[in-house]
Amino acid sequence: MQDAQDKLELYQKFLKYPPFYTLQDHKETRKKQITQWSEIVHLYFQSHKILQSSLSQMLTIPIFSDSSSGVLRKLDASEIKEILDQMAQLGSIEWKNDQNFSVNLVSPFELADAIYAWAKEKKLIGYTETLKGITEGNQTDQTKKFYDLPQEQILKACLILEETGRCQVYEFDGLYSIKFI
Amino acid sequence: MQQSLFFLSAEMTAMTQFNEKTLFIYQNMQFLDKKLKMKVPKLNLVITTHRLIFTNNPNIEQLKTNDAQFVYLVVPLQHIKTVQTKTGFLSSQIDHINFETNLGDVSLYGDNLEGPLLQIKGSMEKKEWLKVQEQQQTQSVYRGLKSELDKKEKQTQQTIETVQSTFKGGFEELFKNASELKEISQYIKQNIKKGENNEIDEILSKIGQSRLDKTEDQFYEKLAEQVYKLCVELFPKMGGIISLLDVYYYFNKKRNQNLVSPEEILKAGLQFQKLNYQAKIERYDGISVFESTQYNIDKDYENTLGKFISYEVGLTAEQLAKKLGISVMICKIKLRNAINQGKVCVDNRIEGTRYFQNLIINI
Repeated sequence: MQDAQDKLELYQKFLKYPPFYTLQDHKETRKKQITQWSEIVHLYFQSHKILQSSLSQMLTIPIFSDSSSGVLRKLDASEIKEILDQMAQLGSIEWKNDQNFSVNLVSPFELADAIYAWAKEKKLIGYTETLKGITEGNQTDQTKKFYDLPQEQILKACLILEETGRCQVYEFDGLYSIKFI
Repeated sequence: MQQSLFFLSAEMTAMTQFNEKTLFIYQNMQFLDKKLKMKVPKLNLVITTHRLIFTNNPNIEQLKTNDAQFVYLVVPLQHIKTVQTKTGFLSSQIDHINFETNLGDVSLYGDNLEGPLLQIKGSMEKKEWLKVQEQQQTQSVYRGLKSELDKKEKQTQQTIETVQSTFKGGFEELFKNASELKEISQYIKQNIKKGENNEIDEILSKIGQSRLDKTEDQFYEKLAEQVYKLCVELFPKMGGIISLLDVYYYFNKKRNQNLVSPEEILKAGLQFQKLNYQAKIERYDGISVFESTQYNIDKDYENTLGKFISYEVGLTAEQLAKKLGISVMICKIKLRNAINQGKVCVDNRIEGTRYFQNLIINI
């Protein structure tokens, strides 16, 4: 919790630091800057539960601009694209096309672990469950990381579980079911 | 027989104009009126500031108005339009001089016409007769462009007279007043051929000159030595980097002629490495600078930019340059170095670029 608090303070500090809104030429500084921006944007997506967005919508979100000193500073489209590309590399988002992307509020690996832990808790090992059942079923709740997430993300997590031998994924007529092992 | 238009009575000839002076009298000249084809030999030519007077009066300077027995042919200089010389056949000596005047063409014959020709041309250039007209014009209430031009010409004439009067006694007079300079030049003349002489180089360098008895390579090596000396003086004040323009300015400051060009200073700077000097030429964004080999970016940042740049307040390059007392060009080079080291961050905004201490990398 302290860690999260510290991070939040750090992000606040960066967002008040004027050069943060200009991507720096110095390689190392730029790398760190984009990493910090990625974390801030990801936090923003999480807090606002944004699962889908586009580059043009990103231009309007308030974190990319600052006018506290009286002078408006903001990142332009190419700079925001560079940040989103970094996030895509980290798995935080997935590009659908040049403009649109989906957001992974939780990473597939983290999701996979969370789903398997839930299956164990609910004694579902050896039993089959649907994707919808995992995200919206009676045995799940809002405290779970996978609650109400898009089914594509759940499927991805389950495929990871399948690779690690913790489940089997069945598909029939476009519908998926998961057997926990 | 038709009379020549240039004939004047003694009375008229004696009437000198304002400021007219006799310059020279040449003997045994001949006057030819081309229109009448009338040639008059054995005349004295009196050249004044205003006229050419051809006469057989031997005492022209004591001319009396009732000297009717003598001949006077007068050509006013202001009426002469062109002057042409003619040489003899197969000879380079002037045979005669033709004058095209408003009253007709005349010729002057005689021996050794070079002297008279120079005197006549000199008088024509001076235009002493115009002084009469200028005085009349100053009395008028309205002054036009012509009077302004005349005023300018008068000033030029005065300058010429001043210069001429300075050289009145010839160079011997001048040198009497420059005995010290003469001694120095004698000393240099005696010693310059004895090879290297630091004292002479010092004297020449102080008056902004360098020795001429050198090949091109030697010249640049010598120049490199002098430029390096200057760089060593300036490096502490300028923070280890000096622009070529600044070196050019300071190097030529004590000279008032024969300035060393920026190209020559640059060529001299390129000799530094060969001569093992602790300075070198560097190029930043196309700008050539002289940089000390001991220039350390980190130390320089601590001593200069680091004192003024902070996380909270951004400064422009101009503000920093003013605080550091260096040129904006050099300040931008230092900032570029600091950015490349990750010490400074840039904030690009509509009102200009500002520089902050790098927070991003330090956390």
